[in-house]
Formats: sequence, C-alpha cells, structure tokens
Amino acid sequence: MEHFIGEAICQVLPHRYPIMVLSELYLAEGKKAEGVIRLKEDEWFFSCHFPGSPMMPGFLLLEAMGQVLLATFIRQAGLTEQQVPMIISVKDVVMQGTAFPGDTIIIQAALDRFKYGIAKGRAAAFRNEAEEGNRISSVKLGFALPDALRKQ
Amino acid sequence: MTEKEKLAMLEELLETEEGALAADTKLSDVEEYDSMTRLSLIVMMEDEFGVKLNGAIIKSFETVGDIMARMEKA
Repeated sequence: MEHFIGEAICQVLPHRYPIMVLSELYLAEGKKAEGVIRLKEDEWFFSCHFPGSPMMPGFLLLEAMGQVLLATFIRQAGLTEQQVPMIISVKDVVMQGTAFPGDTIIIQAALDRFKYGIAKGRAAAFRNEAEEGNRISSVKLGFALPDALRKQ
Repeated sequence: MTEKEKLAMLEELLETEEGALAADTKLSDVEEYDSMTRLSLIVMMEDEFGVKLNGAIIKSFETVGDIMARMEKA
C-alpha cells in the first residue's frame, strides 16, 4: 500500500488547498484508499462554520470522501492535468455526526467498478477511530471521466 | 453476437444477476437502470459497437430488447 503525506498527495489528486483537506493518503490502487484529515484549530472553515461553534462542514466531508474514492482509480484513468473526472452520482448519503477542531477524520473508500469511463464506489468517514460506533458519514459515489461525458 | 451474449453484456453493465434480464423486460422495472448506467450504456455502445446514442434514442428505449436491437456493429 502506498502512503502519501501532505503535498505529496497532489501527485495523485488534482485538488489543491483549500478544497484539498487530506493530510495523509494510503492507497491500494484499483481497490481501496484511506484518507486522514487532521483538523487543526485554525482550519479556514472553522471561523465561518460556525462562529463560536466550529465544526467540519458536511459538504467538505462529502468532498473529502469523493477525493479518497477518486484516488483509487484516477492514475489508471490515464488523464492529463486538464482532464478531471466529475462526480455524476451521489447516493445514500448518511450524515450522522461531525468533527471538531483537534479531531482526526479517517475516510475509507472502496472502488466497486471502473468501466467505460464510469467509476462507482463507496466511502465512509469516522471520527478519531475507524470503528463502526465512530462513523460520522457514508455515501455511494459515481464518477465519469471527461471522455465519457463528451459522448453524452 | 447472440441474444444471450447481448443479455449477458447488459446484465454486466447494469450489475444485475445472471438471467435477471430478458428482451421483454421493461426498463422502468429495472432499478439499476439509472442516469449513471445510461451514461455507461452510451459509452459501451460507442466503444464496443461504434453506435452513437443520443438523448432522444435513450429516451425511446422501453424494453431491454430495444437496446439489444442497437447492439450491432455500425
């Protein structure tokens, strides 16, 4: 399993700060990936979400789960820097918790299928420990490569 | 390509069980036939058969057999 830390994650994913929030990425390409987010007190979103009650925004957690799933197949897609896969399906979203300054979020993603330029998979996020009782969110996502979208 | 092979290809695309589809199966009864699999279908038809499908053609499909009728090399 490959391990990427900080800026090195940009070797795999096209996202950049402030949308790239992953601190670490473990990758078993074509199968599974695990992302780690270490939430510092001064994260850009805590001051606005919410003043006096800082917590991880749900949309950003969803985005981060998408990033970890994308990592499982993006390199085998053979894309150029200008070609970015797009999320085309978001299903069965469950938000059952959140995370706070100082917490660590662990995201586990599994690729179910990658064929005809379409990828499908699942991701789940956990607060501090990757145990069922600590699950804060889960989702099923679909991605399309640019070529597939052009054929529509 | 035989009818059986076409059905197997569609079952694989739709991720349904083997034997779940027949030519007269209504697509409205196939839960897995959603917007994402329709996009996969467009790409599969072009890559495997050289057949281009547009939105109007996709909309006209009512049964699995309607798709199978297009599964011939262009």
